[in-house]
Amino acid sequence: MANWICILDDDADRRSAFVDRIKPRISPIGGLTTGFHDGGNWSVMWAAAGSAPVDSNMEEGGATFAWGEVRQPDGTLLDATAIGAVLDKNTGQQWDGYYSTIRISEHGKRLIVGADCLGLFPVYYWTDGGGVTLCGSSLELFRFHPLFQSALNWRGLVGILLTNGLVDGETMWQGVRRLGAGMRLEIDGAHASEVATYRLPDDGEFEDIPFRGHLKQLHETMQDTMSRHTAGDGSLSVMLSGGLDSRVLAGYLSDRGSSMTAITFGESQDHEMKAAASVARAIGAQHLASDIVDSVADAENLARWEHLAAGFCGLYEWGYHDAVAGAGDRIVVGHLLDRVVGGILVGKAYDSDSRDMSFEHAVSPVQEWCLDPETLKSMLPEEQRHLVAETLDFLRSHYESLSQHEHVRAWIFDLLYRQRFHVGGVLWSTSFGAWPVVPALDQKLLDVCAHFPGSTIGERRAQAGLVTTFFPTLARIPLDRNSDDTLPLTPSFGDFLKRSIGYRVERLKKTFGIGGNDPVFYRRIYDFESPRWRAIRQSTEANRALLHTHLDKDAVDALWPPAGQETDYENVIRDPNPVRLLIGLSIILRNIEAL
Amino acid sequence: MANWIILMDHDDERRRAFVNAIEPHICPIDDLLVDQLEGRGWSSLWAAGKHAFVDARKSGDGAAMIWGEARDDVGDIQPAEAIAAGWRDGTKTQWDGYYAAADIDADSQSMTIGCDALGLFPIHYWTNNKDVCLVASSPELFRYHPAFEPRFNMKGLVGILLTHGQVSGEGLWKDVTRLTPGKRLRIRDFKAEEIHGFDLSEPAVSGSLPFSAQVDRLYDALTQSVAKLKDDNQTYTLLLSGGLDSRMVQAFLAENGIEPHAITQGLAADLEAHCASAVAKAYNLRHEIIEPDKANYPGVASLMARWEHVGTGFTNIREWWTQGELAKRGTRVATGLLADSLLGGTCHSWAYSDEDGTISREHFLSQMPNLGIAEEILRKLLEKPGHAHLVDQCQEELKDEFYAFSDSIANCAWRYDLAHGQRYHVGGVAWRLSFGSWPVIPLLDQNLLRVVASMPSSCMADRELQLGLVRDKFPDMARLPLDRSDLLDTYPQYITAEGRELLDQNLWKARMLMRKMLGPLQRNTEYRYWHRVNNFQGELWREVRADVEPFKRNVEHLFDAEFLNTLVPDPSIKYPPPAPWVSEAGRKMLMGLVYWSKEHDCSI
Repeated sequence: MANWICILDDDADRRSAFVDRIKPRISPIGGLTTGFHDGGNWSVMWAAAGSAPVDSNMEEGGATFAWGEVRQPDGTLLDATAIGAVLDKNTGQQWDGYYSTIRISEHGKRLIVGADCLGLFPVYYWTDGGGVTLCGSSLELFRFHPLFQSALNWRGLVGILLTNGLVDGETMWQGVRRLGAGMRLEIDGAHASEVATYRLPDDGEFEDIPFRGHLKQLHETMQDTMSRHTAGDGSLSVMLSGGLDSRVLAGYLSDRGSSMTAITFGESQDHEMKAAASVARAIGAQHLASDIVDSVADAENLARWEHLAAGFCGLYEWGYHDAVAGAGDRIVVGHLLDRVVGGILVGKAYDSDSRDMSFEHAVSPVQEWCLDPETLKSMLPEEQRHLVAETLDFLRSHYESLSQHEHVRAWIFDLLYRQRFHVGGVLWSTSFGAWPVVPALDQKLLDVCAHFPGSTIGERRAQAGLVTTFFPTLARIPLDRNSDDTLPLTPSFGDFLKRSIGYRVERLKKTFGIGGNDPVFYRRIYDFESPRWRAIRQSTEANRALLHTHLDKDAVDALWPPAGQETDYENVIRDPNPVRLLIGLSIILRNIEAL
Repeated sequence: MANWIILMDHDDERRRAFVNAIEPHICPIDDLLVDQLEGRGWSSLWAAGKHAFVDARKSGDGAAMIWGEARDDVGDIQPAEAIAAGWRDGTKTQWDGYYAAADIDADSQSMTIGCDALGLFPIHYWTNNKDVCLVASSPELFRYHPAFEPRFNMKGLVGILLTHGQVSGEGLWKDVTRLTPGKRLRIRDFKAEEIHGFDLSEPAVSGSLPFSAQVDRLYDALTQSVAKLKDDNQTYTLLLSGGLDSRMVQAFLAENGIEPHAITQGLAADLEAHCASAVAKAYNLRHEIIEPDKANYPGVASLMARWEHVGTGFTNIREWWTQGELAKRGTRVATGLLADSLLGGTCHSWAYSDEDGTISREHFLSQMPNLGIAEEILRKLLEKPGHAHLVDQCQEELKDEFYAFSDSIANCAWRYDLAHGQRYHVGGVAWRLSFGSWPVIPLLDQNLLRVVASMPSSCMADRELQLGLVRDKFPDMARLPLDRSDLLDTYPQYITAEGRELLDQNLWKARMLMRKMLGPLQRNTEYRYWHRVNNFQGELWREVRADVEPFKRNVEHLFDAEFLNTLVPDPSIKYPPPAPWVSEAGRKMLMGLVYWSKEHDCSI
């Protein structure tokens, strides 16, 4: 990844004082390469992995910076010089791939900042209204500027606690905005505006052909997308979980499998690890099994650098940089494919009991990870409670304005809210190890997926169809579903036998209290009773009082179990998440306090 | 069922003479109830199965009549008066279920006749546009009317041979027309007009819903449809094949508390019976496997030719026997007829090609299993006597009809298949069965038809929706062995297979291998009923062929006689059997024509 920050400030002394203050803080983790440039009234500083694709072009009166792989529709990569030339023509250009770019022109009077088409690469900005602009991939360093005041933005916080992400660009801090998806930021003197560069197709039109026709279109598009996004220099690895998204990746990477390393996190007895090892073997890739390191520092980093923009669950991704870097310079990841190609929320937006599709159904899987509105209200100061209803109203009206078609609404809403933050946020921390190659960030693929009927794209019908139809060998390998059921997509007699015996063995183990760790990786690392979370809970217990100064004490305590208390969540992955948000918030408040 | 005829004729003497002349002939089979009505200028006569619902009553000099069960939106069976009233004031033109109805208005000397939503119930008509008009479920009795001159219709024959059904309503006699599906026949002043009956209009395609929602919609529509037709006063049989359609119907019958007496045709050792038995066992049904080998095949073939004039093909002839077996066991027969094409999306699959990824009429025609005689063979057959141009004429008409259905090719393919392949080849079965037990067809339901019409191809094609329905809503059923004769597989399939099912499949394969190895030692090596019963070279059809062989010369003048004899050789001469049985349907139609020629003149 790259952590970058850009400041526009005519006051040269103040600017250099700010630069001096943040210089020692620009690297979120150790071992990164840093860079610094400045011009008449601007400074740009960054820290990135040595292998990260970073390019800059300095010219008279301006500069262009690009962090990441900026791809044209034909897949060719653009360098900073070419990007600058395009942006000067002001064509509202949107490229494919995971990246962000900065163009400074007119001697620092004009700044254009862009990012990938779904706005996964984080871009935050703040202006004082008088010509000072702070812009960066994290808002963490903004508070070191003397003009910036860390005032809590209740609206932003309510959005975070309700959606596990940001709503309408509002962040935790007043005056700081996150650049919208498919937008670029234009700073013209003291004036900041967001201009649209990409809009997800919303017409809902589709070709009325059999499902296998849609599959064929999707397959051809995936082939094309994968070949464009994997092109380029630098060794390539793939992040292989045992699940469906990376199974799809494995299928499309199988012809180059032998030249790749597949990396999987967890322990050898994990379902995920076993499935991934079989997949790696099937495509001939070298398999790298890497256990995660339990460290409280991950939680500190997550809180510090992301300020709850992606909730507070992407912990281990803040501790796996060395392992990821060891696998290759660039890493192919299947993030978001379950939503882009698998259309999960399209299925969830439909409720079989009421036989209809609606915003309520669509939003409920998002809210399951968050504080329920009533709990949140009871936690907020009286005068801020109205924000809950207002935020929900905003979400509803935004949902309904996304398209005329229910399935398109659900599909886009999922990408803009849940996936952009909760899932997409992980890519940024990953990028400090190896640069993420994200096939989901492709306008052609998005376009094809947006033009399937709900019955094709929803419920992972097409995604599973890709594997069973085009990669039958991979479909016969056990599939991890974050549960004990790992039946392959195309099971054989032996698979059923194995499952049936496996269930019995598990039951016996439970009865006699034997057996080792939970073989479900995500369950193990998300569990509040895991060593990692016990330690985090312990170390943040002291912050509880800080939270009480902002939120209602009783409501906070009712939700947040004391560090020593044993918890009993039904779904240990999802259900503790509201508490995770509070814990994350408490760390941030403590950091601010400490300043 | 009912075989009925209505005659309008101003000449009372001639009219009565005609009724007297046809009365001895009105019963295609024994054991039917015969009745008649007459009024000023008209007569009607019918023979109906003893279980059939018939309501016919005069009002003034006119009358209202219905043969079969027409149900309204809540499922009430409609008396003939209600149909007539709906038609007269225009408030309702179509009901659900399998039926034909007539409304005769003596005052205006007009009548209206209509049938089920898909036009399965056969209605044929002829008028001299002056003073005689004949309408009937079969054209057979028309020839007894002195004003009717039976003239052989070569184009009708070509249409039938080409499509296994009638093209533009034309049959083997000139000027006799079969009513178009979705239309009603209006006769006024002895002029015939086809007027609106039921429009399978296209609601917006419901593209937003995820697959499981489409399954829910189909489930709801079928649940409602079966609930509507449940009648505690009836005893039900179910034609339970080993396939998907009949088990789907069984699942819905069970949900509505109907316990049918299940009938499977064939032998207990057949693949179909193996699969059907599992279903019957799962639902604890009384189950009988009956062997149609006992049927008098030449007898049923000649019945079929006489009463259906080859207009519905000549493949499913054994149903003329089956109906009698059903009558002994129940008053109503539930069937899954039409399910595969109506909601199995088979037509969508035919219209699509993987090669270019598009959907088109060309793909549809080339991939649709050809029940008729392949065009190039038919041309060759017709070339010498100079009839080949009639093929072009039929093709032109069919093409216009195809594109007129809809703007969407997928929808055109669906409607076309319903109007042609299914209406005749499959739908014709209903009429035959109705002489024994009245067919209960849950798919003849307007709400269901509309729901299905609004579904995207991507749900329907390749039977995905139908399989999804069974998988999601009847998971226990999905784990029972399934015969997918549409795929022509030789072993049972499973919709959702687990260990036990896969084991069963492997055992079956092993059993078949054993059988093959022992092949020469056993009498019967074909364990698929459908293949056995439809095999043109098989025992049953050889019997039929031998029966009509001497009459083949009756039709030789219509074709290239030499080529005809290579297509349908003397049954004592063996020819290499063609692969799938469907391709033999054309040969069977030629046999049907020969049967027909025994009693009808086919000189041109």
